[in-house]
Amino acid sequence: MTYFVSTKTVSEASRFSLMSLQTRLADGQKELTTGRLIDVGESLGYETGKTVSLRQEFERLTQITETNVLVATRLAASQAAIKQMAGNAQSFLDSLTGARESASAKATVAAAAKAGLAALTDMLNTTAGGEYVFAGINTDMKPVAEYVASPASAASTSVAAAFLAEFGFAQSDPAVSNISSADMEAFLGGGFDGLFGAASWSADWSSASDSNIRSRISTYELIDTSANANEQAFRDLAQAYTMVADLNVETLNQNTYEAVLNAASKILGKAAQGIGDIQSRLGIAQQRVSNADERMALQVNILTEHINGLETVDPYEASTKVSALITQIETAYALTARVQRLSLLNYL
Amino acid sequence: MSLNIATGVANSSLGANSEQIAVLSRNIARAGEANASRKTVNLITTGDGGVRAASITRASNQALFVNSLTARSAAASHQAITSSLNQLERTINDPELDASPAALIEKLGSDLQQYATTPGDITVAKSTVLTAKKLAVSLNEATSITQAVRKDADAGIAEAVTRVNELLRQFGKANETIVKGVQSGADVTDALDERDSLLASVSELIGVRPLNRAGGDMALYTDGGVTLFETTARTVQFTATSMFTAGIQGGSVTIDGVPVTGSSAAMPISSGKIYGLTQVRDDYAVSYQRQLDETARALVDIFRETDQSATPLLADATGLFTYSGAPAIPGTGTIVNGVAASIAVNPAVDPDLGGSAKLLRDSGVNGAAYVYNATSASGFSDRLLTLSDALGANRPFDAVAGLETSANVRGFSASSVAWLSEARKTASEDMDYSETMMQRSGEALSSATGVNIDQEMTRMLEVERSYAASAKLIAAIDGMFETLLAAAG
Repeated sequence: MTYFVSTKTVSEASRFSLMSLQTRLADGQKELTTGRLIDVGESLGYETGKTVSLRQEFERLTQITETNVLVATRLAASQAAIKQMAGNAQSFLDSLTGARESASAKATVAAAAKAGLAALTDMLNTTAGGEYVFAGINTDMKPVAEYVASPASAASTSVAAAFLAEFGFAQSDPAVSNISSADMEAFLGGGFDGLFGAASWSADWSSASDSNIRSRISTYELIDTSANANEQAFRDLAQAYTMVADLNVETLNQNTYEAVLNAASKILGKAAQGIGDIQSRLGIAQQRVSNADERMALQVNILTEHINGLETVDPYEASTKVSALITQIETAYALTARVQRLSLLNYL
Repeated sequence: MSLNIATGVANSSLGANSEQIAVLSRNIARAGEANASRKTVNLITTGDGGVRAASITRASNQALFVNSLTARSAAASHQAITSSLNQLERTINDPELDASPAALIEKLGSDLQQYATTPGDITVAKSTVLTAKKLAVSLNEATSITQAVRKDADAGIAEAVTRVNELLRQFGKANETIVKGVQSGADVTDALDERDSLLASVSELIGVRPLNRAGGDMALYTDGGVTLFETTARTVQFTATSMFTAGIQGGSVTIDGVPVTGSSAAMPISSGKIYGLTQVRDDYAVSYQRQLDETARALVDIFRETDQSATPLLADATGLFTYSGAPAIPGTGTIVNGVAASIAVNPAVDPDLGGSAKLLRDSGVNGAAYVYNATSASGFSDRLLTLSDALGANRPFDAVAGLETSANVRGFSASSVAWLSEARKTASEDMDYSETMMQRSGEALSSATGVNIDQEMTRMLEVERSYAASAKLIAAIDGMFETLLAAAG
């Protein structure tokens, strides 16, 4: 039996196959040069949703890793400032112990207290990236104003008023030498102490917010990443410095003077513990941030691998595909040329 | 037998040969035409022993022809679907470009994370709002692309319907010529070819089943069984819709008043370009639009503001994202058509329109009662963190969108990408398959009924020889007459 084939079929067949080969070659070449699938959506189908999700995840983790740098900077700045405060407090405590006996040391101790208070104010006003780190969420407000200032700061005015109310004369009055140690202890534990309670502190001393800054440090961890100037330990420090700095200790009699120093030492001891707590709290936050970063770095690597696994083509496979296609096309060309020559006309 | 009769026979052979040569030339001339069929001359012996070209027949194969029609219809519908879906793909683009709504939602999430870390930074606030604007615009654009695809499909259907009517009219003429020709015994092979070629064109537009009837007549039915042509052409009607928005339905195609597309069709068509375009207009694009609308609705919902008063009295209202129904919040888990078309960043938050980007952190777009950051603290990040979390929280989606009914908005938009990509992949595979089928069935038909030039050449040699032999014969008879006359002379 003879099989009939029309001339058109013969020529069309080679044309059609050449066309499809060339389209595939163009795609193959692009895949080879870019290393990615020519049309991700069409090649992957429903799996495109997966690469989009993976890319979303990737973007989220990268972003959190980036913002964690800011968080880490803030924590480090806070830690440095707190460390400085703790050091200052310790040396002030040491100087108090030494200054107890000598009358001439009174002035030195008062000066040290003033310097310590100024340094504390400075530390509490530490900024990182343009934000006050101890301001809680009021990051654009300077948390603590200078104590010694002109006009007089709210804090120093309140201390003066409390002193006047307690003793009937101002701190600068020579009569302060007559204050008994018992009276002074009563004042320090009463009216003066009240100035450093949470409410008065926020009114006179601090513009900081009680709410600490909360940060998302990984996809599921949301933690406090700051300490604020309203914490008890900072108030204690300010209280200790202020009682030595602003109660005119130079003029006090020895007993009363010692009572002030005792009270200051006691508060400093308490503050040291509080500062330690804050340091460890921030330290834990730092640790969690760096752990989260490590974890996310691993996840990002895995995600990148997955995305590449889905969207990229194997260069060897793409290359062999292209060379195979070129061979096929060459064969098809040769075949077409021969078929075209195959005409009875040439032989008649 | 007399010499005269012999001359007559030789003469008739010359005549038959010319007839054959004429047909061979016709075959060769049309060798390149797709629908040309091979014609052969049927010779019969006449009463006096001569030959006569009685009729011309064409090679045909009804089964292969119907096969090729079916393949054409299928390929046309898949081509229409694939090209429309490729247009929809512009709303996503390469995932690497992060241009899809899904990618922009993620970008917004990242910006919120950045902003929550530095809530006092107005530059970050502005760039977050800018991302929100991009997201809104991408949803608006995706909607207009989707509706443009529907409109194009609708216009394509209208064009196809006009063309079908024209083709059916021509088909009617060709059919009439054939019926008359068969009655009168004329050569109708060319008319048959033309009718087949018209039928092939019709099948690209609408799935069609031909039925051969007595006397060369042919009737046409759609693949759904509705009469398309029987003695006369039936009228195919369609009214194009001038504007498409989400929720607007297009008209259906009717034949003699009977709908053959759309939900009301009892005998719907199932292939051809018209079918493919209807699928795009009423199915793919509609589902995709619903997914966009649901995504937009979720975004409006996520950024809503709640009354912050000690005893809240006011209803929740739209926040960062507003839409045509603002300030009311769209209902939960129920589709609202057209949200994706009208979603926009609230002008009160948009710095380009004189708004304050900080409202994103503090809220209160709808008045003082809605302010979350009562003290205007610059480090207030609670609202931003809540919003950022809400982007990842599961929420209900309407089932009509054809995706999951509980998902977070990130996942939902990614699923929408997956849905479209899968539809494209399937459509493109279907198209490849049906195009190959069309190619193969066309080849099979062409092989069975087409012209092979070599064969025609061989035939021509035969005819040439036969002609030469007949001519020789006449010359020989002439010689014999001459001899006879000389002898008689």
